[in-house]
Amino acid sequence: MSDLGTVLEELARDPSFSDCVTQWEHLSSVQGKYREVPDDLAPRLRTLLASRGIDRLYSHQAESYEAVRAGRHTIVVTPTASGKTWCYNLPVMQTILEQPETRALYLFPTKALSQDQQSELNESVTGGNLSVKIVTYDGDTPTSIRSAARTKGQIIISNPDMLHSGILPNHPRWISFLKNLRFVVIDEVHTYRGVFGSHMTNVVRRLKRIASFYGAKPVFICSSATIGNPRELAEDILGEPLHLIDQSGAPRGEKHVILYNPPHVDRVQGIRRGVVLEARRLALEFLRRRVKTIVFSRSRTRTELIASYINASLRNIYTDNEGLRVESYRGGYLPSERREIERGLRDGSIHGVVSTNALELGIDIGGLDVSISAGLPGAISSAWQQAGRAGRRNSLSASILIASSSPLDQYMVQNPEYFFGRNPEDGFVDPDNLFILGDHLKCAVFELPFDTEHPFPEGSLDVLHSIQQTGVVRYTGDRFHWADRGYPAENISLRTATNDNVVIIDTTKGAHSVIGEIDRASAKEELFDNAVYIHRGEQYMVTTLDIANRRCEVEQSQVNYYTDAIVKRDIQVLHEDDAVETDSCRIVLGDVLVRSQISKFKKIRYGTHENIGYGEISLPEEEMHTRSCMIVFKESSAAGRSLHALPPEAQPLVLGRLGSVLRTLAPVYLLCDRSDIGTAERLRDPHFNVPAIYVYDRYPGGVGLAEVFRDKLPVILQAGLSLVSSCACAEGCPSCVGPRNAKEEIDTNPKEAVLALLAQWGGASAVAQSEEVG
Amino acid sequence: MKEALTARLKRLQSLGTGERASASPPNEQTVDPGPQDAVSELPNLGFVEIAENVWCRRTRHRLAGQTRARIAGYESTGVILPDARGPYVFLDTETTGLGSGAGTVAFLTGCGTLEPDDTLLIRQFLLSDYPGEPAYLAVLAGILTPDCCMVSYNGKSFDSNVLQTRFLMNGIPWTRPRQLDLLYSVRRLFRTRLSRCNLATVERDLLFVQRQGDIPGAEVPDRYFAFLETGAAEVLRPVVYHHEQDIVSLVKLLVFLEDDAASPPSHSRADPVALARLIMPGAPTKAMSMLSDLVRHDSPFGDSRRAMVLLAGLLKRAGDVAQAVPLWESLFRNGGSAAAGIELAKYYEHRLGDPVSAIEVCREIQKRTNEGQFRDALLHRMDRLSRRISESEIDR
Repeated sequence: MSDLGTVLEELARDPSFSDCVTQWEHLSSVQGKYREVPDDLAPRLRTLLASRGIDRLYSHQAESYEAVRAGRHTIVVTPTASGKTWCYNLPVMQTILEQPETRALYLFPTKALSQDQQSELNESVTGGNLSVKIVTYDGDTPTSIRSAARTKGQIIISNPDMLHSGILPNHPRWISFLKNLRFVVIDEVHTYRGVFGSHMTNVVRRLKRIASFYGAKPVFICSSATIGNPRELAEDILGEPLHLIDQSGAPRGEKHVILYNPPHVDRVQGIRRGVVLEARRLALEFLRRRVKTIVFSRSRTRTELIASYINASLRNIYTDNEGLRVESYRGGYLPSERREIERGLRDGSIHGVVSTNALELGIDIGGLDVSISAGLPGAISSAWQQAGRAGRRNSLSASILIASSSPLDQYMVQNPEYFFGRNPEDGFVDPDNLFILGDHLKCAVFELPFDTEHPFPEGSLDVLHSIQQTGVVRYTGDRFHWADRGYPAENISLRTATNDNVVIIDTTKGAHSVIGEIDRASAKEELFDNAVYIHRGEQYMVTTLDIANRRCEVEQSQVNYYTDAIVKRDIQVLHEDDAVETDSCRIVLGDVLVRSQISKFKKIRYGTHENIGYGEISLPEEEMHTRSCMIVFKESSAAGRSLHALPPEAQPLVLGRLGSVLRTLAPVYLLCDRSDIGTAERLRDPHFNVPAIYVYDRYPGGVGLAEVFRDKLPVILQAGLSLVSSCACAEGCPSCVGPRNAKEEIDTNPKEAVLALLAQWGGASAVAQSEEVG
Repeated sequence: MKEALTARLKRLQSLGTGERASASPPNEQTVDPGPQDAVSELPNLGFVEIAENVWCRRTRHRLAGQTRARIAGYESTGVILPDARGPYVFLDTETTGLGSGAGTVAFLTGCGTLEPDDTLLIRQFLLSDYPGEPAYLAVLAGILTPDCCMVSYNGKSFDSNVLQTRFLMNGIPWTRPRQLDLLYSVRRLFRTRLSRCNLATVERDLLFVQRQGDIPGAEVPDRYFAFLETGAAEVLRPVVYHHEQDIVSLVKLLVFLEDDAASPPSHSRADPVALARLIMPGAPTKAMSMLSDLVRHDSPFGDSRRAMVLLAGLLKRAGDVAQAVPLWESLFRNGGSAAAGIELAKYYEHRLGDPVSAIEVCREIQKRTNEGQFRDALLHRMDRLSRRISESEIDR
C-alpha cells in the first residue's frame, strides 16, 4: 500500500479526525477512453505526440480535433490534467502546417498562464521540430520585438487586456495577422463572468467586427472548468452557437474527497479551531510520509503564514529539514521565481506548496497526491478546481476541504449533498450594462466608423446617439466617427468594477510608494481621513483622502483599534418593472438610486471589540443608479405575518439578520464576490409602506446580479434554512445569523425568529415554485 | 429576462443620476445637426471646395534666390540629401489625436512643392467632415506618388503612419514614398545645442523665425472638433496659418542644415563632433582635421573631450595607435575616463609588452572609478596581468 493509503487509513481510524469529517467521499478509478490519432494528422505532429509518449488520443481530444477542423466553434469542458491543451493545439498546428499563412490568437485570463502556455508550446515546437512560430504579446513584450511578433507570429499568445487596449485600437498594424486569423482560443472561459465577463463579451464583439473588416471569420475554441452552464456562458460571450464536448476520455485514479469541519473550541460562541493551524497539522501528516501536497489558502498573507508554520515545524538542521522542501506561491512573485517553483513541483524537488488561488488555474505543476483547501473557496467550481490539483492518471489521491467559521463554509460543509451533487454554479454575463457597453462602443467607433453592420445588440446605435451628446463621437454620413483626441481603451479597465480608482500611497518617513488601488465608492467607506487601513498584515492610518485627485495618502501606524464607517444608505425606487406575487411575499425587480453618506466612524479595539470612540467624516454623498431585487413582506403574506407576530423591538433585528443571511449565501449561487452585492433591510419602507429587503447590484447600472438573484431566490432560501437550522449554536453565532448582542435587549431568541421567518417564507415559495427547487 | 437596450437607455437618460451618468446631459431627443451653412465660411480662410467635404487652400511663397536649384545641388554636394532624390514634397499633417491608433484622422494635410518659378507652392487639404475622407485621400495619393520624396519633421514615425492607417482603413492602395525626416538630422547635429528638438525650438533658435499669434499644438484637435460641431470655420484660422508656417519652415530648415554643414567650421552652428562623424564617410580628411582642431582648441561648448574620444577611436581603427595614445593619456589623466584607461592598459600590455605599467594603470582606474560595467572586466584583466608578472619573475 502506498504511503498515502496508509495515512488515510490512519486518519480514518483516528477519532480526533474522523469525528470532524462531515462527508468522506470515495471516488473509484475510471478507465480512459481512447481514439486513434486522426488519419490526416501531419507526420511531424505524429512524431511530436510520440515523443511525448502519446500513441493515441483521449476521446475528447479526437472529438475536438474533428469539430474544429470542420470549422465548428467548440467548447471543451474536462477536468484538470486531461490534456485539454491538445484539444486546441492539434487542430491549430495541423492547419498551420498545411497553410503556413494561418494565424491563431490564444487568450489566457492571466499573464502567468500565458507564459506557462508559451513555454509548454515552445517545448512542443522544439520537441517535434515543427516550424510554427509562437510569440507572447503582452505588456511585458519589449517594443523592439513587437513589430516582428506582429508580422511573423503564427500563434500569438496574449490576454484580453492587451487585445482591448493594444491590439484592437491599433489594428492597421496587425493587418497581416488579422487578415489570416483562423482560430481564436479562449482558455479558462469560466473565469469570464460577472463584470470581467461582460467586458470580455464586448471585447469579443469588437474583435469579430475588426476581423470581418479584414475578411476573417475565425473559429473559436474555448476550454472551461466545470461550472453549471459552460456552454451557455461561452455562447453568451461569443454570440455564436458552440459545439460542447464534456465527456472526458482521460482516465482517473482512485480519489478520496473529505469535507472536514474543525472541532469547536467554544460551542456557545460558535468558535472553531482555525484553518491555518488545521491546515498545517494535516499537511505535515502527509509531507512527513513523502506525500506530495498542495495547500490552498484564501489570502496572500495566510499563504505566507501557513508556509512558514509548516517550514518551522520541519526545521531540523541535522536532517536537512527531513529532506523536504515546501514553498509558498502567490501573485506578486517575480515570474522567474514562479517558474522555478513550478519546475520544482514537476520534477519532484519541491514536495509541498502553499498557494493562493493562483495555482487553481491550469498552470502545469504535474501531479500532486493531496490537496488541502484551508477554507473553502467561494464557489463550488473553484473547490473542485482545487481538488483537481491532486490526482494523477493511475494513482490514489486525496483532497481535504477544511471549513472555516464563515457561514458560507459552514453551510457547504454541513450540506455535503449540495457539494457533491453535480450542481456547480452558473456563470453569467450582462454585456449590455449601459456603462460597460457604452465604453466598448466608444472603443469600437475609434477602431472603425460604426454603421448598421455590427455584432453589437440592437439599440446600440441609440446608445451611440446618446454618447454623441458628450461630443466624443460624431454621426455623419450614416456612420459614427470618433471625434475626440483621446484614446478610449486607455481609460477602460476590464478588471475593476469601475474605472474610477483611488490610488493608495504609503508616505511613511517621506516614502512615496503605491501600495494599492480601490474603487472610489469603497474608498469613501474605508479610506476616510484617520481611518485605519490594513494592507498585507501592515497597519496604516489615512492622513489624507483626496477624492478629487483620486489619491489617498497613508502612513504606518500602531494604534490598538480599527475603524468602521457608519454608512447611512438611502434607497429610492426609481422604477418597478417586474413583480412576482407569491403566497409568501412580493418580489419586485427594478431600478433604484442608492445614496450613501458617511458622516461618522467608530473606533473599535482589537480583541475585545469595544467601541472606544467616534470620529467625524466629511465626504460628499455617493450616488449610484443600479438594479435591485426587492422583497416586500405584505402583512397578508406568510412571511409578513410571521414578521409581524414578533414583538416590535425585535422586528428590525430579525429582518436585518435575514438580510445578512441572504447576502452571505447569494454569492454561492450568483458566482460573484460578496462585495458585488449590497443589501438593505427596512421595517417600514417608505416606498412600499411595509417591511422590505433590497438586494442590489453594486456595479453602476447593474450587471444582472439582481435578476439572477430573483431567479435563484427559492434555492437561496432553502440554503438559508438549512444553514441556520443545522448550526449547532443556541442563539445565533458568526457562522449563521450572527451572535446575539447583549445591547439589543430583546427577549426573542433571534436565531429562532429568523428560522421561523425563513421557514414560513421559504416553505410558501417552495410550494409556489417547486419546479425550480427540484 | 433582459430588457431591451433602448428602454434601459431611456430610463437612464431620464434619470441622469450618478457622477458618471451626469457627464451626458439628460436629453432624450437626439439632434442631428444636419448640413451646416457655416461651412461656407471656409472660403474666408482661402479654401476652395474640390470635392464633397474636401477643401484646398493654395498659397505661394517667394523663396530666397535659387532655392530650387540649391536644393537640387545638395544632392551632389550636401550631407543630408545625398541619399535622396526629388521631386520633394514638404509634408505636414494636423491630426485629431496625438496617438497613431485607428481612430486618429489627419484632417489637414499640407504639401509643399518647389515650382519652376522658384516659389514654394503650398496646398493645404482640409477634410471638412468624415465622409469626405476617401476623396481627400485620393487627392493626396495623386501628390504623394511613389516616385516623390516626402520631407517632414517627425513624419517617419508619425505623419506617414497616420496616413498609411487612413489609406488602409478606407481601402485605398498607397505605396509609402521615400522619406526624409529632418528631425533625425536635427537630433544628430543639434542635440547638444538645443534645449529641445521640436520644430518650435528649431524655428526660434536656428531659423530665428518669430511666430505671431501662434497656438499651442495641443489645442489643434479641439479646434477641429469645435469646427465639426458648429461649422464655424473661424476657429480653424490659427490652425491653418500655423500649419502653413510649419511647411515653410521645413524648406528653410533643409536649406539651413545643408548650408550650415557646408560653411567653415568657425561659422557652423552644428555640433562639430557630430558633423565630423556625419561627413566622415564622404570626406574623411576634412573630418579628421575638424577633430584635430577641436582637440587643440576647445569650443565654448566643451566639445574637445568628445572629439578626443571619437578621434582616438578612429585612429585606433586605422591602426595608428601611437597617435591615439596621447589622446587616451589626456582623457584618462585629466578626464578620468575609465574607457580610455583600459585602452592604455591594453596598449602597455599588448603593444609594449609592459604588464607592470599596464597593471599600474588598472590600479589607477580602480581608484578613480566605480562604474559597474568596467569592474568585472577590470578585475579579470588585473588577474591576468598579475599572473603574467609573476610568471615573468619566475622566468627571471
